[in-house]
Amino acid sequence: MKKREQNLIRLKKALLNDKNNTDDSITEVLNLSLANTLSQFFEFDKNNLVTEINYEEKHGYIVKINFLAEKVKEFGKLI
Amino acid sequence: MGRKIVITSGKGGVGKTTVTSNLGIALALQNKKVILVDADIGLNNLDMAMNIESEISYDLKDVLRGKCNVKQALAEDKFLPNLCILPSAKKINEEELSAKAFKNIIDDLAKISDFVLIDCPAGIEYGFNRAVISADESIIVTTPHITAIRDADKVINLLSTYDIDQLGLIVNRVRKDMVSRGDMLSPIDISSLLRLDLKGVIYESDQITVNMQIEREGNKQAAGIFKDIAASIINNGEYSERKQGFFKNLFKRKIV
Repeated sequence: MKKREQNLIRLKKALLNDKNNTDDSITEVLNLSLANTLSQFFEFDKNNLVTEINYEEKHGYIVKINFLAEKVKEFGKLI
Repeated sequence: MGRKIVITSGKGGVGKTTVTSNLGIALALQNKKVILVDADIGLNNLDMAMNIESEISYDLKDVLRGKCNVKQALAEDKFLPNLCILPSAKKINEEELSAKAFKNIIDDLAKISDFVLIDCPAGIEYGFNRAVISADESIIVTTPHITAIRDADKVINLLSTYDIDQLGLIVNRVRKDMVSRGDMLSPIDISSLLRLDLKGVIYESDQITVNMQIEREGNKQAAGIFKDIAASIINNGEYSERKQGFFKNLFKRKIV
């Protein structure tokens, strides 16, 4: 099989898998941005970061950010 | 009000800055007033691609801090007075450059130009969101490498959640010999996989690698492609009559 055909098959599988496992929404961008910022201050497993966006008529958008930090960083050092 | 187009990819190093600078030149050569904006904070390179890095007086940070207005921060191209660049800054606090503040700057630039081209940073984090939210239209750049295509797919899916028109796909660094041997995915393969209209194909070239400005370095083939892409954008997708033979068929193919 030519390299082109091999790559086409690999890509089709990967793209399908990505689509099935991707949020495809603003929460994904938000999660990545938050993980990037939070990792400057905390050591944590990024898989534990969960963002939830809800809308309430009274308050507007309520954003809940949940994550478990294992350690706190101070000036780049773990304390 | 000028059109606001973000050039994005997901993956770094695929040629966003090269496309932004050359598309800017091609649009300016068609007598359009064009402003290029470097949205890549920290890893800014559009100034170098345009060869104006030694002539910058102000940058994005100075606009945000009120040291100058946005017009004063624009650096004029050395050869085309209707082409300007808003340089990025080496470092800006994220708090200083909110998506809203950046969008306001882009909106101000659109008032004084025909086209604002935004060179998006790599990745799909905050910088991506800031650049994309400021634009009305997008162009995706990828290379034929599987990792770049996968990232482009992710970006295309994300863009569908924004209020933005996807103009099409530019495939960069294509090697004709490898495509014909069956060793590299063809631009048509990539366009089909990503379900996005093909807007242009840039072939791998030593000249492009060494000199990012194609039009000024005598790469006639690549310059012609950017001229066609520019004409297509100006005419809202109507391709110019310049395309003949292979390119005519390649570019007119609509893939759903």
